[in-house]
Amino acid sequence: MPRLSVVIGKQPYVWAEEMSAMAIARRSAKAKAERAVGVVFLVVGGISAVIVLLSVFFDVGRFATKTFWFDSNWTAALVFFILIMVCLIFSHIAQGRRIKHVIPVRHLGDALPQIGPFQAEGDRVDIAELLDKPALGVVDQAFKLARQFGHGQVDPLHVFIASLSDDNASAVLGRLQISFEKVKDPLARRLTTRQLAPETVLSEAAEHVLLSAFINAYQQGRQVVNAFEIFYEAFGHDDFVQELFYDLGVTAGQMANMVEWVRIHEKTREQYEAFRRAAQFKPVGAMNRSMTAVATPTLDAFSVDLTTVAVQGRTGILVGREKELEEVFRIIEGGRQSAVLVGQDGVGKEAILEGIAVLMVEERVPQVLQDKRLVRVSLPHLVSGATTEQAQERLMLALMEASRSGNIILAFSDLDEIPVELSAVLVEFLSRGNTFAVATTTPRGYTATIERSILGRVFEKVLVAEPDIDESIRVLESKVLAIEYDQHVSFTYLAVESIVQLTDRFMHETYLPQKAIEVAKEVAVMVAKERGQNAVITSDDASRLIAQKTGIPITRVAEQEKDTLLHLEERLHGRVVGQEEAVEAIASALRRARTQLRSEDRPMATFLFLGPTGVGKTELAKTVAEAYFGSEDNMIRLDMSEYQTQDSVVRLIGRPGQDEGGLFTEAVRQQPFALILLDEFEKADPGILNLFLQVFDDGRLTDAAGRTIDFTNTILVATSNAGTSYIQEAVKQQTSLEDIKTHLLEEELKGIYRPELLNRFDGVIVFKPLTQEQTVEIAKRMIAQVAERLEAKGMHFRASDEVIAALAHKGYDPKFGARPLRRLVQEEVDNTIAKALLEQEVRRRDTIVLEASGIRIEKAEAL
Amino acid sequence: MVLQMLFLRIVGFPIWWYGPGLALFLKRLLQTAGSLAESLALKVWMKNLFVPMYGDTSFAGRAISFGIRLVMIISRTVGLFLYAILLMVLFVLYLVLPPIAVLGFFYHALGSL
Repeated sequence: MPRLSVVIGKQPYVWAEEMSAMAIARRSAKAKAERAVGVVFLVVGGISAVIVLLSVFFDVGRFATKTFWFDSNWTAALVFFILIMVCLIFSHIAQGRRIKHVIPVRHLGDALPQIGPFQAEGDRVDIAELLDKPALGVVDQAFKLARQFGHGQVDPLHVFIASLSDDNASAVLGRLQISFEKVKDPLARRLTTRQLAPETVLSEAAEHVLLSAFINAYQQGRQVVNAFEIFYEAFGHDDFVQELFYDLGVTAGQMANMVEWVRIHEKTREQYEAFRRAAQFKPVGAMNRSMTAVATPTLDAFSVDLTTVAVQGRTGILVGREKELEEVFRIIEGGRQSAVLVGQDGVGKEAILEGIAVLMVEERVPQVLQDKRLVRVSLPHLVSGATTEQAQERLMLALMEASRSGNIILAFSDLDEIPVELSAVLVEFLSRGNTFAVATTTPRGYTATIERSILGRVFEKVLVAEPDIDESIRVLESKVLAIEYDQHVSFTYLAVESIVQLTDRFMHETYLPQKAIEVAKEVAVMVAKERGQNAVITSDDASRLIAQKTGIPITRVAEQEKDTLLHLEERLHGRVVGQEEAVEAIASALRRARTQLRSEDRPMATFLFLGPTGVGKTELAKTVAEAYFGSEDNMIRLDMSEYQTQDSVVRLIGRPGQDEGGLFTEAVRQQPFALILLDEFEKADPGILNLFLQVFDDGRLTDAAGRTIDFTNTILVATSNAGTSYIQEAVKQQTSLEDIKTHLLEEELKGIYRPELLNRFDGVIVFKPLTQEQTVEIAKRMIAQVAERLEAKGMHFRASDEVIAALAHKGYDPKFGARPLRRLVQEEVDNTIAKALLEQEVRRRDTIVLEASGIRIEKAEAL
Repeated sequence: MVLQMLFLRIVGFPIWWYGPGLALFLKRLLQTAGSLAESLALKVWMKNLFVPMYGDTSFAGRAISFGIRLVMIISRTVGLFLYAILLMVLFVLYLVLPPIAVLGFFYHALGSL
């Protein structure tokens, strides 16, 4: 007795198939009997045929004689007997077909039915009759499995295990890189926890699985339910299985996208077949079916017939975009208006045009578009090599032809490229209502040349937004098949997913899904070259290529890097002396960033370094650039003292109306993965500081040309000398760092930075003046640097600790930090050595010793 | 089970042949006829009987178009008609095949006993 039902139209659908060992045995016996009966008919008929053939073998002419047919004889009797057999076989095969109903066709906009409790009255359709053979096999197999373990119920778990044998299901596991071995033991363990019973029945949950699979098939427009839909629903109905897959790194969302992939592949194949049937009736070339069209030689010279291209099967399949298509059709059906698709490059405007052509071939379009062709006019061809007048004449002729022919819908790619002189001709033509046009353009092109010109009067805007991550994954899935075929490689699901996600995060110049498709192609070529045919592309390959293209290290945190990250403090201290608090704050911010715990729509980190000059603020910034971004070169340095007036904004973000961006925005655009050092932040004009509020908050800035510059992969460091004298004073009085900071924020910085700006820094870090000991340490490092430079020339350099300490003492000035020391080293050490080098007192292998009185040279032994 | 089914198939044969089987066969025939009609596009031609071909709206153009269209419509109709006859023959064959087969078999078998 069914417990659940689904109602489509007024027809209830239920699972009424009896599930018992008996019933299954009966079903399989019936199937065997069917085969046996078929064989009997065939053998009997076949033997008769052989006898007849043998008996007339030497005398074929007998068939033509009257006596053969009218005088009783055994051969003729056999011929008629064969006829009877043929009839019987025909009826046997036709009756043996299990599927007698098909799933009703769903019309666009029909709501999906819900599963409800079963109502007894009325006739109902058993969905078991709508399952194809493998699907029914899965149900039987699930039952056998439950029986084998002595379980009281067939649960979704049993159904899931049984469905794993489906080809598409194993393809899903393959693409997700999950081997059967990995799930086998946990599933077996789980099976042992079920309740035992002498009788096994189908549980309500399992019934729910089957009905859901039926609804999916209905939604997908299939005629029967296949095993794959059962697999997916069984997955969705069992929490344990989901948890198990989650442990293996597959979320329910990923599974949904993966299932969509298989469906897209199947649909592509089915659509292709259906399309070939429909395309037989679509005429190719200029003529329509009623032969009222006119030849259009001028138009043909400057255009491509998209419907012909579609008939020849040279267009891709359009994924999604129903809303946009409906909108275009609505505009055209409304009459007197053409449509312009407005979207960024690469979001799929051309794909929509091709999609319209495909629908026109299938004649699944509104009345006004039926028996028409979609012709894309190439504006560059039209205007090339022609004066304005000639181009106008060409366009006019082409439009005249289109209008007289009456079966032409025009398409224009990049409508904003149309010269002003031509747009008037086009508008005049379109506003007469002779035909319609569908055009494409970018948002910039739309605002610049269409919206406020006469073109805006006849073209209504249809917005084509960049698809979101899931939609892009599906688009890419639909393209991957061809790429795999070309390069003889295969993509795992995670590879596809990470291509979309990483291009979305790190490549901001171009748009989805185009950029993801391009990257997928490149990855395929790269992997095919590296690992040969039949290689499997994983997400690591994808991130490796994107890392190469963008210069951003996005490969998974490797063991070695983990080490670097964990010991970042030591690395930073390798170049910066003291400043423990600053180093620690920076290191933990970087760790957060690298393990992706940070929020992704802000810069990785923003810091304000406060402190006197020469204590290591810039040095620490440089060290971070080297440690995190790979090299000191990955640092964009702005001297904010150069931006002291309001109008220097122009230099930062560019002059409105001009295409090139500003110094700052261009630098970040070209190097989106870098440390940005804003030196002497307090000196900039307050208006410019306000600009940075947005950067700190949203991680983006729009330049004068309208491009959005992405700051989410940068670390922003602003340095400032504000409050220096207070810091020096406070440190002298041994105030704690915490108190210094509070006082700074509450008193000293008040007049310089607005509180909302200060608030937006992830950390305000106070650098303390250097102590005597720290200066000694710095002096040691400077001397070590000198030694390093000489080492490169093959000479050695040495200085005793006392000498260095004396040097440090001499160069120590609490007001200017390490700067005087550097000057001192330059004067006392570098200059002397340079002189010695020029006078050729030192040669290779000699050792230079720094002493209190100057330098001494220890000659090396002659070779 | 096999014997039971064998029996069912043979005894139930006439009922199936002239019941569900007939319906199935008819459906197939109509489908083929439909797809031929679609490819001949007769409806489109009828609708455009007075519309000039190739956009030639002069009197002569209209006259010639009308003539050609008439000829085309007639010839296509004839084609469709012939096809329909063929399908009809198939249909009649379907109806008479079992009785003829059975009668022929018994006529010859009993006669030569």
